[in-house]
Amino acid sequence: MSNWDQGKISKIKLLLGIAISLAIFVLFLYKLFKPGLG
Amino acid sequence: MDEFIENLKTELENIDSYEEKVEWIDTQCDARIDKMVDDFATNKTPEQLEAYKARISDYRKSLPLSTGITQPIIGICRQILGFGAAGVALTIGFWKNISEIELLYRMYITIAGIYYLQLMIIAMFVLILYVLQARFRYPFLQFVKIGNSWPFFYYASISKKTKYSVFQRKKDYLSANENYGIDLLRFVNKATRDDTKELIKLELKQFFLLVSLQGYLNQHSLRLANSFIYGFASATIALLIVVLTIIYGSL
Repeated sequence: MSNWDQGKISKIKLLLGIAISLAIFVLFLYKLFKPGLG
Repeated sequence: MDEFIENLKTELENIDSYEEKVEWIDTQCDARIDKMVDDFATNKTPEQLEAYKARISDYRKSLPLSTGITQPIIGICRQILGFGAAGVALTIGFWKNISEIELLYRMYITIAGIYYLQLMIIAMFVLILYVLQARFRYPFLQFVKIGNSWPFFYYASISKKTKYSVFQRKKDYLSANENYGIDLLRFVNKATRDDTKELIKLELKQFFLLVSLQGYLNQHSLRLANSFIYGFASATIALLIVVLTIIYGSL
């Protein structure tokens, strides 16, 4: 690992974060707007 | 030098307990530092040594020990949490009127709400990380000889028996008084020796300690910033994806 890498932002962590955030969004939206509850 | 380090590493593997390992590193490195400074000091006049000490001291003093990133991030997190609390109060206030809003707009408001909830979770996480960093034990705290030098930090000068509890009996006060007197005697005893070589060792140890501390402070503050960026960017990109799906998709 070079010195330059020490504070680098990893793409995997970012993608993981996006996946978790999307999951939260979809879960909440599904719970809130379940067909039939509208 | 490399040979010494290799030896230190191999001999360290033969020691079992953590305490003994730390003590071993402490004594070995200290002895080696003594030798190196002694070698350095031979053939040098007292004036030269004095000038060298002053130079190291200046370097040490000019080390920057804060990054300036941490405080703004903590401020942003506090603000997000503060606004979030106000948002929750408003939501409760207008709860009954929610059904009057059209479904599509209600959906957008919900999405904004979820986004803000994610930001609040991130802010909480960053604040917890900050507190954990505040109670982090730096590696030089465990060393007696090569860790904190006695003129610069209380660890090396104040007796470990000193109690810091705010509730103390007369007996505890007396032991604190006793420790204070004894520690002061030891301190003055060391301080009046005025051995330039000894002071150079202390300066060098403290200088390196501060470099190490700087590394920890910078990396910790970078970690704080990175955590915030991961959370913030992830939540924002996810928000965009959800909104675009609603606009162009069939959600």
